[in-house]
Formats: sequence, C-alpha cells, structure tokens
Amino acid sequence: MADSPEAIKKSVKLYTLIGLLLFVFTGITVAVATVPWLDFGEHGFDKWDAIIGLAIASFKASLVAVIFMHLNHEKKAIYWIFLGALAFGLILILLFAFGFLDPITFDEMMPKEVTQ
Amino acid sequence: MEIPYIVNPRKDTGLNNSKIAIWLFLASEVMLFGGLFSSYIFLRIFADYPWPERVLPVLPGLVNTFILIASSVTVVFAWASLKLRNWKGFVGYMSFTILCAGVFMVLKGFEYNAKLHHQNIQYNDWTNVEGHLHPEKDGHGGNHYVVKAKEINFDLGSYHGPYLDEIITRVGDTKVTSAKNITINVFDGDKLIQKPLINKDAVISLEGDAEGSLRNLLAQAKESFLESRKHNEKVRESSLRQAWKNVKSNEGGRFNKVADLTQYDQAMKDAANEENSRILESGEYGTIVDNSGLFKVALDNAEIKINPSWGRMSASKEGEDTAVSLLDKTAILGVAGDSGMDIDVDAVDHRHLVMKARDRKYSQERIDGMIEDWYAKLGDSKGAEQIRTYWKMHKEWRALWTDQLTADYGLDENGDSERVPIDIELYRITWKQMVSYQTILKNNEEVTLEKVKAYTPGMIDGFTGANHKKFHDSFPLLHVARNDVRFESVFSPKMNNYYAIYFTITGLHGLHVIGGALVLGYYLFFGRKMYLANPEWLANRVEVGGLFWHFVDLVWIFVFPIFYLM
Repeated sequence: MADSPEAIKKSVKLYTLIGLLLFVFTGITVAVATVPWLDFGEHGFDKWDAIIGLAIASFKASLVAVIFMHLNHEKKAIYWIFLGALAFGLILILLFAFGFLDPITFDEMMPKEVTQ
Repeated sequence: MEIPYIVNPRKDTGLNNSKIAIWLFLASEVMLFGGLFSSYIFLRIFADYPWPERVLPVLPGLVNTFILIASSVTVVFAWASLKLRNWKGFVGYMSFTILCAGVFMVLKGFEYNAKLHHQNIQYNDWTNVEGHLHPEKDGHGGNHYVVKAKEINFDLGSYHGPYLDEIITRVGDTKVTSAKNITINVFDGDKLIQKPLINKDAVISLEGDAEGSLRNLLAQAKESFLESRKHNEKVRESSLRQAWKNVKSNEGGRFNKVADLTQYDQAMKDAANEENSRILESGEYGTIVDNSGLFKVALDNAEIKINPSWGRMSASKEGEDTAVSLLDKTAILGVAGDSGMDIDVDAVDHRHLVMKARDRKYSQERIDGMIEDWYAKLGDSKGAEQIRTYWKMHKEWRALWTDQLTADYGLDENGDSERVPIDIELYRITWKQMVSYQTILKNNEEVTLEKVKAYTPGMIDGFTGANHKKFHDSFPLLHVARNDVRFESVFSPKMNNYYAIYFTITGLHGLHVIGGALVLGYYLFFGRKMYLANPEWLANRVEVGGLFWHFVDLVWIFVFPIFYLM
C-alpha cells in the first residue's frame, strides 16, 4: 500500500469521488424502482427490476470493497480469505435451490398458478 | 504480554496480524449474511401468501443508505488523517462517522416503532385490513378477549403473578367465592396435618395479600401443593426402589426360565409394579397424600379483558360459552363478550383472497363477487360506509388506470394491452389512495387520474407509513367482530415470514452498526494515548475498524434494494 503523504492525499480525492458515485447510484436504484418510465420489463416489479436492482447493488458493493476496503492493492493472503468467503457465501445463497429437489414438499409448495 | 506483529507486517503474509484477523472475521460475516439472504430467497419463492413487495416506506431506507455511505467516506478520511498525522482531522471525521451511526439507529427505531404499532387483521375470507387500533384507556389498545367469567381455575403449579394481578384488577367489585371446600396439607417432618383452608361459597377478598385474600389463599394452596408433591415424589421413589430391590433379589431367579428377553423385561416390570403397589398400601414409606393442583373460584359474570397474546379463547362469538386458557394454565370459563377490535383502517387488501381463489381456479366473476360480499357484510357503521365508498372510487380509478396503461404502451400482437395493472393496484386500497379519495369526496369532485395523483400525500407526510395524525379523517373506524378474524398481528415477526426475515436481517445489521460505532468510538475517545505512543499503531487500528464499518455499509447496500424496492 502506498503510504507516502502525497499518495494518501491523492487517494482522499478518489474516496470523495467514489462516495459521490455511490450517492448517484443509490438515486438510480430508487429511480428505476419508482419512476414509471424507467420501469423495465412488465408493469410493476418483475425479474428485470430484480436483475437491474441487484446489478446496481453489486456494482456499488464492489466499489466499496475495491476502493474503501483497499482490495485494489492487497496482499495475497487477503485475496485467498476473501475469495474463499465469497465462494462459500455464494454456495449458501444458492442453497435455496435444494427446495426444488425435495420430492415430498415440492408439489405442495410450488405456486399452483403463476400470478403476477 | 506483547502481541506480535500488530503494527509491523509478518514476513510470511506481508501483513500485520490484525488485518488478517479482521478479514477472517469478515469472511465469516459474508457467510452469515449469505445464509440469511438465502433464507430470504427461499421464503420468497415458496411463499403461500402475496409477498409484501415494495410496501416499506422508501424514504427512511434511502436516507439511511445516504447516511451509511457518508459515514463510510468519513471513516476512510479519519484513517487518512491519521496517516497524515492530523489528529484534529481524525477527531472531526470520526465524530461525524459515529454521529451517522446514531442517526441511522434513530431512523431504524422510528421504522420499527411504526411497524410494531401497525395492526393487521385478516378476515376469515382472507381479506386483510391494516390500521391503528383505536386507543382505549384499558391499556390493550383495543385488542382483547372479553369474557363474562363464571369460574376461574388456577393451576397451583404454574399460575403467574402478573396474570393474577391483571385478573384481580379486571374482576373489580364483583363477588368472588370459593367453588369448593379446599383443605391444605401441612407437614411436620413426615407427619401430615390437614387443615381446612376455605369452605365452599365463602367470599374471597381480592384486596392486597392479607390473610383470607385471594393472593394469600393461592399462595398457601400453592405451598401445600408443592410440599405435597415433594412428599409424594419421595414416597413413590423410595417405594419403587424397594420394589425393584425385592423383585431382583427374591423373584429374579423365577424369570430365568423365560427365554425371550423382551418377555423377561416385561415380566420384571410387572412384578416390580405389583410389589410397588403392595409397598405403597402397606405404608412402609409413608402414604401418598391427596393433592389437587386446582384452585377454583366462582364469580358472578365478572367482565374480564385479557390480552390475546396471553392465551387462547375457545369460542369468540358474543354470547357463546367459552374458555380462555392462559399460558400459565389458568382457565377462565364463562360467556364470550364483545371481543371485537376497533381499528382506524389505513389499507384494505384483497390480494390474499384473490391468490387463494385463483389457486382453486375460481372464475374472475366469482372472485369479484367474493370481494363485493366482504363489503356487503361490513355493517352499517359510518366507517363501513366510508370503506364501501372508497372501494367504489377505487374501482373507478383502476378502470381509468387500465385505460391509461393501454393508451401509454399500446397493444401486443394478440390485441391485449402491453401493460396491465398489477394485483397490488387492483386489489389493495393503500393509505395514500384513501387520503386522495377522501380529498376528492370533500371537494365534491369526480375521480380522475390527475386528481388522485394530485391529492396523494408526498414522501415526507408518510415518512414511516400512514400518517394518522394529519389524515385522521381519511381512515375509517371499523369494528371487527372477533369471530370474523382468522388471524391478527401487529407488523412484527409474528405477522409472516417476510417480516420475520426483515426483522432478522435488519436487526442483525443494526447490531453490527451499534458494535461498529462502539469500536470506532473507543478509538476516538481512548485513542489519544495510542496515537502519542505510536501514531501508526492507531492508524492500523482505525483501518481495521474501518474495514468492519465498510462491510456494514456493504450489507446495507444489498438490504436496501432487496427489502425496500423489490
């Protein structure tokens, strides 16, 4: 990590910029969910709104992780820990898929008719 | 003891130990929240009720997002100030960060408070009304079981003081008598003395806990019950021990001829039971004393109000015989009174009904008929009339809205509208629409899209939900009979899985905010010594604390859209 006063002063400018970006993208997230002509896909909430909302959130999260949490210049050990956690976290998030494999409850629990 | 490598990096990792440690901790946190978000997806995909999407008021969530982002920026500024050896800068930025955490939690508190005071009542036909219970002076906010009590059975082993106090307050001046002769057992060593406590039909005083009062009688009876139980347990245990001893030593050989082990075990057990009965009858270890765990009192139709979360009511229709059984096993028997709820309705929602009906493949006409039925059965009160008017206006509004969507987005190749209203627009009257409709009624105007939109309250007016102070006239007062209610709850985790996972994730996140603020606050208030000893040391600490703080921000970046906007 760059530790010289000049480098720190330079990164402070970057932090301000990233902070502003995060504000702007928060505004965009709210706009795509509330402004009618920015409503993607069908009228109302649907998969496109979910995809766009989560994409913006992921982008914002990666800005925080990369810039604020200094993942852009870290040592190898941190990357291993972080990637390991990310992999396990993703597996955990995808665990809901087992709900579809349960032969006993599957039929009962699936919505019988897809409603909007 | 000196902890190694807290400032200088280790050679093998190239990092100081604190940083490795915080990243390992954050790794476990990623998995913790990952698991919780997985639960959210699971609960949402398999929900058997209409998912409450986009129901939370956006503004508090949005403001909180801005607050957390701002604090994330200032916490790196605080770290950078330390790196530049600027103590005052550090104090300023860090104070702002902690202030942000405080404001975040205050807003969260407003949100939670609004949820916990917002009542939902689900009718038997799956129609939901939401609103505020009409405040009453009895401290239950208008939600209580009312029973005209004829008899109360206290369970001596488990009756709960606060419940007893509440019952005594509710009974008031009504005459209370003992429902049977009650004797108590007093033990002088192992010698039993039986003393009459109270005779049948004797009047019991409810005041205080002096001799002869209900509290005192119950306490005496409870002591007797517990002592007798202890005594009986002792007699039973000694007797059973002796019985097994006898069976094994004297009779054991007799069963050796039984080949089957199962039969052998059963034969032994039977013999032991037989021997046990014999010993008990002989009185070798004392006698089992009579020990009723019940204390019955009779009342002359005292009207008792009970908080529904304390128990269950068997029949809730006014005039029916009923029993209210409390969690401490106290049973209040009598006739059900008017246990209805008075609610200032701020939303009517038919989506659950519609979902159930569609599951059963009912036709649209039949579904519409069911909804109309619900309005027809509301009664003749002023509030009911107002709700029916709202529904009429809502139907006009949704017809206009359907046309507007067609006009805006055109038709698809089949000649259907490209965009149609969603269920929440068709089948839910929101509090904002109620305010709009009420204004239109007041101004004697027609329902048009422009008018409804123009009179809709803004974000500030409903910061945490329906604003009952400002728009009191718009929210009709409805009396809901208890036997019409399938389920009632405030918007707490009890309400449904959505609120359960909402409170779990946001609550856990809130705890992280508090924890992070405590750690950062420690560096702010007690960091000066560390700074003077070795500024790099404090800088490293603040970087590590900052990493945690950024993670808290990162979680909220997902929580906000997922809960507030989807």
